[in-house]
This record gives sequence, C-alpha cells and structure tokens, in this order.
Amino acid sequence: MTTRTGDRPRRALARTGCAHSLSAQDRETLIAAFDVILPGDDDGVGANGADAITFVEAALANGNCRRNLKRVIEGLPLLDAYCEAMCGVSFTEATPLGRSDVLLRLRDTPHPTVIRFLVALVRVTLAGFLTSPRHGGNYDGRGWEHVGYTPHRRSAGIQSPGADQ
Amino acid sequence: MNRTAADAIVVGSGAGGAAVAHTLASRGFSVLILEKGPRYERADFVHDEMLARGAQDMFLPSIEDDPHILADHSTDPPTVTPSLVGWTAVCVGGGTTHMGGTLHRLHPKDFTLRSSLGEFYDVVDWPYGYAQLEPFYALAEGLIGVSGCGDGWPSEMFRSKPFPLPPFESHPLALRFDEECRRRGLRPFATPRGINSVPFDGRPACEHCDMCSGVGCPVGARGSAQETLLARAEATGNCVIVPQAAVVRLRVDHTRRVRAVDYIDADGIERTMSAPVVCICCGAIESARLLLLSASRACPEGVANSSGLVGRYLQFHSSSSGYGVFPQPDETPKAAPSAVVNRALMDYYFAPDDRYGYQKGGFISFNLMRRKPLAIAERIALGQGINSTGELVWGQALKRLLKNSVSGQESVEFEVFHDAIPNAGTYVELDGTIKDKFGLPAARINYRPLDLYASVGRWAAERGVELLNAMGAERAGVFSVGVRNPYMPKGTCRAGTDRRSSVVSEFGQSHDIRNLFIVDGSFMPSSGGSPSTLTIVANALRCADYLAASARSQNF
Repeated sequence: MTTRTGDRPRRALARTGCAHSLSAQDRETLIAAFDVILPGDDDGVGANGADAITFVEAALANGNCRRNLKRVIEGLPLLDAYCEAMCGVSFTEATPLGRSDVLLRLRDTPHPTVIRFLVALVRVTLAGFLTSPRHGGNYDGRGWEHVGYTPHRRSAGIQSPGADQ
Repeated sequence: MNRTAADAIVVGSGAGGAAVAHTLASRGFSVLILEKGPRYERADFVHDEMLARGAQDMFLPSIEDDPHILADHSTDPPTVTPSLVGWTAVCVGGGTTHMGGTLHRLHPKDFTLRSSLGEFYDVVDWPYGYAQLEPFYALAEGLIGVSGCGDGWPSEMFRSKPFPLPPFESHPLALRFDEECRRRGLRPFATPRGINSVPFDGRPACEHCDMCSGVGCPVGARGSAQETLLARAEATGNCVIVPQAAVVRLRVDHTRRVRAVDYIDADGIERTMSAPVVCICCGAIESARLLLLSASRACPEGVANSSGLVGRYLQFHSSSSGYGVFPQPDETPKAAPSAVVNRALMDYYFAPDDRYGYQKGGFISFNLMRRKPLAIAERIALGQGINSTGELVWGQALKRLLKNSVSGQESVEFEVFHDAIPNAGTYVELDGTIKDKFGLPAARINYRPLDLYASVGRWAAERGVELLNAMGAERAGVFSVGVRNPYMPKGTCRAGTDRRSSVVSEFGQSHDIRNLFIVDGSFMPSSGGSPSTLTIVANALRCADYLAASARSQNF
C-alpha cells in the first residue's frame, strides 16, 4: 500500500523546525514504550515499524493530539523514575520483560494521574499506528493493513482528477 | 442590492434561516442574512479521521468566547458548568453543515399530543396539524433532495409526493433486518436521508467515505442548507450572506416595531442595519438569548416577551442507543462500499401503555457502524464499547485483538430518538455572571431531566437489541439510555394561538411585534420523537410562504 503523502511531515519538520520537540532521552523512552504497547512480531509491524515516532514529532509541531501528547511527555520522566526504582535501570535500559512489568505495575496503580498517562500513551501509540500517513506515522499504510482497513481514497490523501467537481 | 435596505433581515443561516431566505428571495424580496459564524467551502472539509476529531473547533465557538452555562438540576443543588451544550454549529448553513442527515417527518399525533394522550407536564397541542405542514414537508424534501422509499412507510403519515431520490443500496444486513422485522409484524423502511443517493441538483452522489456525521461533506453530496437552500437563494441575485456578523441587539421602538438590528462585524466594528421585516433564526437557545438581551424601555422583559415565555419550555432530544456485532465469515461476499443498512422503525413510536407515565416511545434508526480505524482500535485498547474487555489492553494481546478488527466483522448501531417533555424546570435565561466575548450575558440553560427519559429509552433500546439478536448478532447490547442529545434544541419561543401562552403565531410572527418573525426550532411546542431538522425547514417554508403572501397586506 503506497500513499503519496507519507513523508510530508518529515519534510515539513526539516523545513520549519519543531516548535516543541522531544529530548533525545524522551524520544528513546517513547520508542521503548511503543515496543511494549504495540510490538512488532511475525504477524506484522508494530508501532515502531509503522514509524509512530515520526507521527509524534510531526504532531508536536502542528498541534495534533495535543492533550494526549502533553500527558505522555510529562509522564515519561515518571516512567523512567519508576523503572529505576523497580529494576535499577532506566526504561530504555530495561529488558523487554522488565519494561512490560513496569507498565503492568503502573496499570495496577489506582492513582488517576498514572492512569491518565497510560491511557494517553496507548492513544498516542494507536494514533501513530493508524492515522492517515499524511501525519507521519502508519508508514506505508501498514497499520491500516493490520486492522483490515481499506482506506477511502480521500483518507489516503489521494485525490483523483475531478473528484471535487 | 442596497445592503442597508433589504426587504428582510434574516439572523442566522441554519435550517430555519436558509429556508426563509430561499422562499423570500425566490419570490423577489431582497434578503440580507447576518450569520455569526464563518463561511466554509467544500475544500475546507478534509477527509481525515484525526482532523475530523478537531472538526468541533471548526463548527463550535470556544467555551471562553461563547459559553452556555449548564445548570443541571438532576442533582441537588444543581451542577453548574460552562459548556457548549446547545451549540450545533456556528457557520453558514448552521448544524446542517455536519448533520447525519436523518430528515424524517413527525408523526401526525405529535401535533395533537395533549388531545391524544392527555395532560402531562407542559405538553400542548400545536397550533396546526400534520395536514397543514405536509405540503411543506414535501417541498422541503424536494429542495434538499431526500432519499427514501415508500415501502414500509407508516401509512398514517400521509405523503402527497414520493421521495425525490431513491433509497441507498441495501447491505445484506439490511435485507436480514427487513426479513426479521416483517416476521414480527413490524414495518421497516429506508431512513429518509438528506444525502444524495444519486446525483441531484448539480451535486454528486455520496461517496460513502466513512466520515459523514460531524464532518462537512467535501463533495457536496449532503443536502446542507448551504448546498441547497442558500445556494438557490443566492442564485436568485436577491440574497446576500454576511458571515461573521454577530447580531447583539434588536432595537424596538415605541410603536413596537423592530427598527434596526445591531451587529458586530468580522473586524469587531459595531454596525446597524434595518429592514421592514426581521426574522430571527439563531436556534432555540441563541434566539431566546437575543430576545432577552434586547430588553429596552419599549420591551423591559425582552423583545416579544409579553407572555413571559421567551426561553421557557426548552427541549433537547432524549436519545438511547445500542449495537449488534455480526460475524463476517470469509466466504461471505463483501458488500459493496455503497451498501448501507439505513433502516428505521416507527413501530415503537408509542409505548404500548402508560407504564412509564406517558405513552410515548421513539423513532429508531439503524446504521452500519462507521469504519473508523482509530476509533475502533481505541475502544478495543481502552476496554470500551462493543469489544469491551473492561480494562486497558496492550502488547501481543492488543495486537491480536486489532488484527482485522475493522474488516472482520460488521456492527450495526442504532439510536432511539425519543421525546423531551416540555417542563417548567427546563428553560433558558440570561446568566447573571458569565459573559461572552462581547461582554454580553451568556445563556444559562436550566435542565431538569425526567425519569421517563431513561425508562422509555431503555424500553425502546431493548426492542432494538431484541431485533439484532434475532438477526443473528454474535453479541448485542444497550449503549446508553435517556441521554440528553446536545444538538437540536427546541422550544423557548413556543408557537400558539393564545398570546398569553405562546410567543409566536402559527406562522412564526411575534404576537407582540408585527414585523418580527422567529423561525427556527424555538417554535416547537413539543419535540416529537424523531430528529427535528426537516420539521424546522418545513415550518420555516410555511412561515415564509405566509410572510411573502401577506407582506403587502400587512404593510410592513
């Protein structure tokens, strides 16, 4: 599945710079979290294979998904700190099993801020996996392929001549 | 046309205002429409699930600029919060710009509820009946381009003309629905839609793009006011629309005539316009607010408010909903993307008895659930809705649940529209504290829900679930019961024959001020149990027909 617009946000970022950007550490932590939320496997790519991180970078620049991204970015240091306390290493340094355990432990925490962070993390991951490739993620429509969605030509950002006449 | 000397000023360009403007302009009257919101074109409506989530920003004002203060009296003391409840869309075309397009008629008994079902809260009969509105229902359907079918149409709802457009292609589940309904002695019919099933009036047929309700149509297949009534009005050369013109005051003189309309334009400059006739069509809440804001020495209680009833008897629709999930075996041929369920039932429009205190049920509309991949995935991951596991899911488990989640099943959802009952506890007034961006008091919505909404809603929703189960749903259930639908408010300027118990005549003319017409959902004495957009358009066509015919004799 190919779209004509999948790499636009990357070009836009290169051109305009990013008003709000992730620190290098936040970026690595988020990529590690994406691997837990939606991992790649024999059954297809996961969030990282669909380039969800590019979606995040583009969204930070253009204001999409603003509320959830804010919650995620504010929660990433907490995630690292919790992992340090639990496993003795940062989230990115933890094993895949350790990362998964950390998120599961957090899910069992009744604190509303923690739950809001996890819900936002899941929403952002899915957005990077399933929104139109014009937003930077869902690379080559691979997320859509996984859920069995055949995009309407307008969803794919493809306009046929005369469509709006 | 001299914009300061139009024959009529119409305030608001939604279902009511557009219909008035169309009639007047097509009969040679010059019309100036002052619309508070911007004007969008088809190209502004981008087809994108993520951007569609932000479409509310496009259609609704910000809560800081234009709040509606909601005082919910279901708790004691009432919960009071700034909200956007009651705003449908602030733009040229109003709420019709993003409507789902269910353009159904009211039942003849809706016009005579008090006579038919007896005294109940503040329910009254309408000042006219179904027979008087029927020609205008037919006219509205023809102007907008409503698709539908006579098969199964309730025989008691007389139609003088067939639907102008054929129904949409039927999905296999629609045929199964028809079969099951008929087995039970029910009368299923194609839901009347203000969306082109075939090219009509220079606009293309629907592309079945999975977005629709809540989003503007990028091809113009939806019969919005802008695409239909306003386009025709402008084509006459007699109608000018001024977007971003917020009317803030009606000036009434000592002879009890509206002499002028004050508005603030796109540059923030206050301007004044005058015309022999003024039609207020801002929707039930904002029309009442404007009349109350315009209080003056000539009208100390607010314009057109000698009865004290402006703002009273506000009604929202009550809404209940449910779903059924149907497996889609691999060997089943996939239905064409253009095939839809789009079925409706009026068989539960009245309850079998008054076990809920009132013998009124509602219109039930069944549709295929839209294939929005992100929305479906979120519901699965967050443990909500029809694929509910009840908890947050991720990892391999989520990956497995997502696999073919969009293509692997068909889901039918249904909505029951049931009556809101006019009652003394639900009304609009001016808020004593909160102001809008112009420094004018915001509307305060006092809302008192009745227990009836939940009990009737559950009864009707359970009928829907029964049907879907009988059709072979893998699982089916009720989503919600008795929820206040934030759209389509009505009441607040009730129509009637007695000036002591109503605000306007049966033709929308103020009992107090002869050159003032109020022509939107605010006239409705009762809500009916189905979406009200077509009724608002038909009533506005009827009022405008009267206005055009009597303009000379009334010497406005």
